[in-house]
Amino acid sequence: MRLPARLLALALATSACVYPPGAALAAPSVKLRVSFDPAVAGARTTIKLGLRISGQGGSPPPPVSALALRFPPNMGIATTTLGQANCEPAQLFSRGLTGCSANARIGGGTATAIVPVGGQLVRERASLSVLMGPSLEDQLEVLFYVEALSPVFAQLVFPSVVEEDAPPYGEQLDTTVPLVQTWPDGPDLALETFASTIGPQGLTYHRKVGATTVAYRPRGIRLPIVCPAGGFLFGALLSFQDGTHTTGTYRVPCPSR
Amino acid sequence: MRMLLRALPVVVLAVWGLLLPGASLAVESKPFGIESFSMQTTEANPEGVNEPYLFTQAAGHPSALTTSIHFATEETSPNHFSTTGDPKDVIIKLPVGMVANPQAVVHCSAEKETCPTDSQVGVFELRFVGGEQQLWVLGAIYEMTPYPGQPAELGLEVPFLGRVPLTARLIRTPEGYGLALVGRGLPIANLSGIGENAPSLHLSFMETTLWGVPAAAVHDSQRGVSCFGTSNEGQLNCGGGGHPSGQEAVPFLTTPSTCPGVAESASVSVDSWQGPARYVQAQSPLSAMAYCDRLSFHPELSVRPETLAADRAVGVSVTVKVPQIEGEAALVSTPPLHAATITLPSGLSINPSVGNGQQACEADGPSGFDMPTGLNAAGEPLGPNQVGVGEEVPDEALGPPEPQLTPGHCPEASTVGTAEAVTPFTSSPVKGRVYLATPECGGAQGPACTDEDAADGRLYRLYVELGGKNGERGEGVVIKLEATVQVSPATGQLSVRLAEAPQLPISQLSLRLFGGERALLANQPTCGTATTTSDVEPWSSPYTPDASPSSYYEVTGCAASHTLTPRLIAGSVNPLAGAFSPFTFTVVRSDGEPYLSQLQLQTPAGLSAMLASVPVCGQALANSGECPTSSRIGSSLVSAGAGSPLAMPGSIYLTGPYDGSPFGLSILTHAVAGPLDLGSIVIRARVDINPHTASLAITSDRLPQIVLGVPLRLRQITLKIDRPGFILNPTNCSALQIAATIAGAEAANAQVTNPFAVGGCRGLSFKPTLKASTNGRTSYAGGAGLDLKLAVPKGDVGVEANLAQIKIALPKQLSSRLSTLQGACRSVVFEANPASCPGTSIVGVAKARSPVLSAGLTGPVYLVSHGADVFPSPVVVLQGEGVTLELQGATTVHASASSVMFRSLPDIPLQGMEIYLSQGSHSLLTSTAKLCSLRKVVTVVRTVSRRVSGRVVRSRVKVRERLPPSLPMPTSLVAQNGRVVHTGVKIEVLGCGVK
Repeated sequence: MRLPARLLALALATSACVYPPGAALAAPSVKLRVSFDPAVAGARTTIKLGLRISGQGGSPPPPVSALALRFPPNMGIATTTLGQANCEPAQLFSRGLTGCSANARIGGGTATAIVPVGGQLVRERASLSVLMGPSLEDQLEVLFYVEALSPVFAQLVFPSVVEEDAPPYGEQLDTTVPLVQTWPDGPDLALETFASTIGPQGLTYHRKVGATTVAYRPRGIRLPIVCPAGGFLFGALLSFQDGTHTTGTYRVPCPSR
Repeated sequence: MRMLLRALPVVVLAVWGLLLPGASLAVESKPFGIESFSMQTTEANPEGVNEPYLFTQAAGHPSALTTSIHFATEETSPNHFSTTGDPKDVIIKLPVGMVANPQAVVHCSAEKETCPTDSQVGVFELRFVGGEQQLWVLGAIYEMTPYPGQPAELGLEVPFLGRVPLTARLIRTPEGYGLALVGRGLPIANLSGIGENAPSLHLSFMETTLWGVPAAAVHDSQRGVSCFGTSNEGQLNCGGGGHPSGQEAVPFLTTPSTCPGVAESASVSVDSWQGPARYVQAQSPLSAMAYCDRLSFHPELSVRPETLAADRAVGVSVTVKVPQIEGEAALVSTPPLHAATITLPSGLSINPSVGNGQQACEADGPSGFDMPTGLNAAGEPLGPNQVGVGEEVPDEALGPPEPQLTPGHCPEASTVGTAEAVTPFTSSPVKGRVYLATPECGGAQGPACTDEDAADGRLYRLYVELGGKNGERGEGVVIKLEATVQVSPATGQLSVRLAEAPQLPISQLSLRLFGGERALLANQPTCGTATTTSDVEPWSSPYTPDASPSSYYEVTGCAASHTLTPRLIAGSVNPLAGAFSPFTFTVVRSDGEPYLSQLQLQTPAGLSAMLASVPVCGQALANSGECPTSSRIGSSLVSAGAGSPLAMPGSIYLTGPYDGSPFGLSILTHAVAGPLDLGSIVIRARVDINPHTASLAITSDRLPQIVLGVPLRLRQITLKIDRPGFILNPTNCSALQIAATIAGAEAANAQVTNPFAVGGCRGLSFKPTLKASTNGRTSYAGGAGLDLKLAVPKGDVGVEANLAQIKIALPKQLSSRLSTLQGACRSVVFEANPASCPGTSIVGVAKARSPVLSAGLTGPVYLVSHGADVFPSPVVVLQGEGVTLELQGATTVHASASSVMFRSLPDIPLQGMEIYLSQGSHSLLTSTAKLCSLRKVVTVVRTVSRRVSGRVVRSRVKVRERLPPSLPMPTSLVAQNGRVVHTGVKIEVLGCGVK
């Protein structure tokens, strides 16, 4: 069994709770929810992933340091036709999403981070974009671009790579999440919720047909025709800045044929 | 009766039919003169020896002191002799140090025709010549009851002629105090009572022999003797004699106490009946005294304060006792005290309180001490009957009109104590006074006194006057002494030096310096043993060793803990909000507590000073106490001293930067303690302005504790800043306080406060306005800026309440940037030095104008992190004229929107303030929307004019207009008096191409 080399850094910027120093090292809990849209075997579909991280005893969870999203075999993340262009992180920082081609997008979503300030928990909602990152020689790099507007404007980019995973999984999206400190001596961002799509839903690509630019909807990921017994198993492996780890799994029932 | 006796010789002359003076000499070829004069001290004749031995024991009691005067004679015809004049008045000055004790024998009252032998102090011999005849007269010398104003009087019982007085006077010669014997109206005699056609007789020889110990048995043969003889008879006819004395043998004469090298001399001055007031003089050396090493000198010293309590104004008695050797067996006396240096206990120092109403006595003049010198105006020794400084001729009705020493004319207010001397020279102790003498430095013309003057005794001096006062003549003993007081400039320890005391047998000399609330001295501030040491020198020094008696006492009454608990009284004279008012600050220390050594005053928040209105004094002038009047901002009053402290006024000047502070004070105090001008004391102080409240912090340098050797014992310091239009009251009427930190010498600091409040805040208006704008051209990289401009209505200071708080709610389109928050400056770094903050923390600039300062204030806006519990907040650092103000903001987040609040703005008048939050890579804000797209299109009704058929027609039309974009920014402005202005400020979005 091959464990993720890196844990997905998704949690990132969006989130990160402060994690109280000296807190007991009991691992937070994570709830993973996954669905397909449409849920039709063999059809092109959009995977919808949802994560909710809870700290022990109702306290904010500690900041995530790595996140690995584990996909069932044959989902074809690495071979997807999504992401017809590549996006550079610098462009995102300077111009936001407009800095990259719409053809680089492979998904989107939202995330919520919490920041405990004094006795107040400040929640910051952010938009999430999943983009095809700069081309690598032997790996597919995916960028998670998080943009929060209010009350604090923040841009965070977390690159992740698609790797093979050990059974019962087939692939994993492995992201390292650096610690995001809000301000010197301030609290760290803690990821609380994460909702992302990977697939064509909501995406519009463009291509040149002669001299004309034509908009089209990308085909996305094909749901395997063969459904494993018990359904498609998804997993989320989270490591936290306090050294704890937690996992969440979710089995998507086999779709109708 | 006395006058009758004094005139007796003349009466005798008239009775005996002598020629009147001046007519008796038919021939006068030689001028009147003295052929020889001698004075010797002798021992008693040993058995079988005719000539007596000279007596040379210093401070000893000779058997006799013999004075012989041969008047000039001439042979008028063969074997006929006559004097060249008839001596009239004779003044014999004894050598300095040759003293007589008038109390050694009983006095003979002048009323008695015959004096008792117990009052005899010697014998005399007179010789008269006339033609071929000579007349010898021997008789006794008696101690008479003296006239008032005279220490002693001798009476020569001249057979047939009666009693001739010899008046003893205490005189001052250049060599010192001494005795003079004055005989007025010496007799002229004839032999008309003896034979017919007797020629006129003239006094040709006069010899007095005073006995050293009159009651000694050796003199019994001459006790009561009286002889008379003529050359015709060829023998003396004597009576009396052989009487033993019934009195105790007390020495009458004592020789000088100075030894080898000091040959004292006596002199005589005589005029004649024929040439009154034309004196002839002669001198006689006295054999030098010796054997000073045989003398013993063991003085005792006693120094006692009238109270032993620490740090109190105190009277002090200083007594030097010089035990005298008395009795017949005493071969020698105790040598008199010549000089004494008394070093008082450390801490017993000059009390500044003495300056209250104190005067000093001048050296001379109408109110002068008039120290006698024995010199005349030409600087020569006084001649007979010359009246020198410190002498006067008394009213003849009160006694012989002899020039005699007289008390000075020191003003009553210059008296600081009393003095007393016990001497056998007088029947009772000689009382007198101690005066504070005018310093020999400083004054209106001279340079100011220095520490060196204080150390050398030129600044602090005392006059000691023993003897009558205000016309009281006592026993004619007036002794004036000068004492220098040498002061350690560092510690104030006093050494009193009394020099050139008279060579008289003083057995006790006491000085009692007055106590009371304005005593000259004050006790040491701490408890413990107080030791007085001394060096006392006899006249026989160095052959007789100096003595070093000491004295001790215990200072008590100190509190268990030596702590400072001062009182603070401070406030505005006119406590009206926003008004100009003098401000006073007084700190008071109680007796016995540690001395004030440093002050720090913290004015209440909002009490500001119009620093811009005063031209500051330069450092050089400030340090030297020469600031111009233009920089004066108030007055000071420093009270110093134990008891009733001396108040010393001064002035306060505003100076430029001092000791790292933007402003300073030069507090100039004229330390004048009555006649003692201790010069000007300059105390510098820093003036800091609290960066958060703009209150003033005045911190003095170390306060001087001692000036020219006088410990100040500071009791109260009052600063009154009363320059018109300078101190401005707060516009906040809440309860405030004035705080002070008082440092005590060798004690912990004391923190004291005084409530402070002003009234009338409700009468102050508050009408500020705030405008805001931002550039609509924003970007992810450059973020967004925000310009805020606060304006305050122009008007007189004191009309408008000052701004206390600003709260602005940022529109949701303007958010803080995480990347900028991450570059905030840690508070610890900021508080240490904002300049050390990273450049990423500077998010803008600000400027402000206040009438308090002449220059505007400008500075950066920092984003400061205060840790995890609060959002980073902007801090505006305004600087100008060395003043730094920090406006602390606070950021709060609520419902995804941010608010910034400046909660505690300093209570100072502002004319305006602008804050520019920069746009750029480190902008605090960024836009989360396209600001220029926020423009609105509205329909408005406008009046338009058109010309129709040559006429102007006006009509109202609806017009669609595009308004510049703006962002709402609800704002609250709160005044120091509590008034609140809520305003819906619109952030004008600029740069969108819309006018």
